[in-house]
Amino acid sequence: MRDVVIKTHNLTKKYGSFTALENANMTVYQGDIYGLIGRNGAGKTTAMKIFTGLTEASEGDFEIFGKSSKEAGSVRRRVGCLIENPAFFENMTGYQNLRYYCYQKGIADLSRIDEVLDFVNLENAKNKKFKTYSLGMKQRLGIAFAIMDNPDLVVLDEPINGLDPIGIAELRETFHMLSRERGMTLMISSHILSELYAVANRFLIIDNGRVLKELTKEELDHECSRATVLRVNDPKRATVILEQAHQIKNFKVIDDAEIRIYDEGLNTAGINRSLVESGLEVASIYETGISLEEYFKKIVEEEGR
Amino acid sequence: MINMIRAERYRLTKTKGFYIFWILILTLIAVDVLTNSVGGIGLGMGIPEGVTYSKDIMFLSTNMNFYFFLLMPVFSIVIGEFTNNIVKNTISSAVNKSRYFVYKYIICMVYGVLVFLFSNFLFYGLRTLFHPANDPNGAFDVFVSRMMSQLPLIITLLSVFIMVAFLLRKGAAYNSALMLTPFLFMLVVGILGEIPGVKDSSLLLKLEKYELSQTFMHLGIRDTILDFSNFYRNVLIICAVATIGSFLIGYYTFKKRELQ
Repeated sequence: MRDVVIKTHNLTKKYGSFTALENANMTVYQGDIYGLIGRNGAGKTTAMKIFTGLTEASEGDFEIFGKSSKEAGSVRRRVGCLIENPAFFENMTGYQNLRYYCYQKGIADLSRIDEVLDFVNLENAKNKKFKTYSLGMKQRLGIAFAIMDNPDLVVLDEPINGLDPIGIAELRETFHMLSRERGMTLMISSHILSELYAVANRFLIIDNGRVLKELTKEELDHECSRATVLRVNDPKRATVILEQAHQIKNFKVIDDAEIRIYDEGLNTAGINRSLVESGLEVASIYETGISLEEYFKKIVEEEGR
Repeated sequence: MINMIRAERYRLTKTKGFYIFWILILTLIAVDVLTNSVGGIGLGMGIPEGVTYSKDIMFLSTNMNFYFFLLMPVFSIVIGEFTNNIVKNTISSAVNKSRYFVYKYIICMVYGVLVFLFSNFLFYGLRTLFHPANDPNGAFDVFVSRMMSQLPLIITLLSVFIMVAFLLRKGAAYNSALMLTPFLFMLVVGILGEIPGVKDSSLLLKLEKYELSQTFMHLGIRDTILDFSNFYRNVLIICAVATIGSFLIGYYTFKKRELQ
């Protein structure tokens, strides 16, 4: 059983009459690359701001590294973060900015600065002023800032924003390295689903401040994978026929009228015939399969109903 | 706290404002010493005729200059981090909002007070060096005691500046509000002084008496005011109330307000 890094209990944040986060429950385990998926204004940044102490929850509570939100200050040094746009002192160089935060955090070993700058490929630009950095360079400096103290948890809000394709690929590799080689737990938000999918191993789908679903990558794959949908009047009897007559085991009964079969190359005509011959009413057999975007849309629409 | 001071010291020395600030102060002192005069910003009634003192005490009477000088360190230390919302980096990684305010408050206060003390001592020291015989300074202990009597005023000003910086968070708004305040105050007093009935009212007389540049002058020269001990007691009460009030307003406002 992995250690729990963050666990929330009906976390709610209200700004006046506007509810940015409503009864959100989530669990982040050690070693996770936890992806927060949601549209702009869904509540991803609000959740991250609460975890990093930038704002306080209106209701509910959370635990971080086993400490309650009231004691979260004592574990703040174990958290590195980049919330919203990377912001640093414009007239200072990348190196000087990081050195300022090294002093602030009490990091005595200043060689860490060169180490993290090298890690995010900014070693050659370290003496350039922050205001001359491209957006991608700013993002990478933000990540360098987040990992400078060798934290156990790194919270990154929309880190992919504004990066070119090569930058995105490099960043993806950086995230994997942080997780794999340094054992860091990462929480990353994005509205670019495909990118988040390529990085994260667990996902939280959030919309209008409400958590719609929390699932692993395997579960997400399963939800989005291609399948043959079988609509029949008695799914229970139908599963027996599928197993016995067709040796199909990779299926899931969705509700009292639908079965999804995930095996490929099915003899749909043969399945239809054997079901009908057994006295079952087959309403339809068709293939389905949805993209991540379609899945997200579907979840959001279902919740909106 | 030590970490924050180290970080702030490092950052300040990387800003142009830091050097401009010290060049301005040192230039003022150098000009005053080399020309054997004292100059500064006086908004109130000015020094009454016939009152003559040694130049070191006259220099103290123009310490209204520090109202404008001390705007700069508070601007650099507080407003600088609100620009582009850089403040979130510190609050999310080093200290919480409450401590952030307290640390910044202490850093501004210590830096501002050191600037005030250093500048005045520097003036006294340089005058002693350049004008040992022809126009000597007054006694050092008198100079120190009068300078120290102005310290509560400096502390109050710094506290108010810090509060305004945390409330407004924008450089332009901060500078406009604080630079114009003394002039607006004098304008209001001037207008009130022209209104029959108000002209000789005790309120207007008090406003004139406790106007900032006047207060600096009275605390420096002392002979410019009757019943100095009563005046000084009132100044201390006003300073204490304003310092504590501005600290509490700044602290609670910053703590409660959401960071953008």
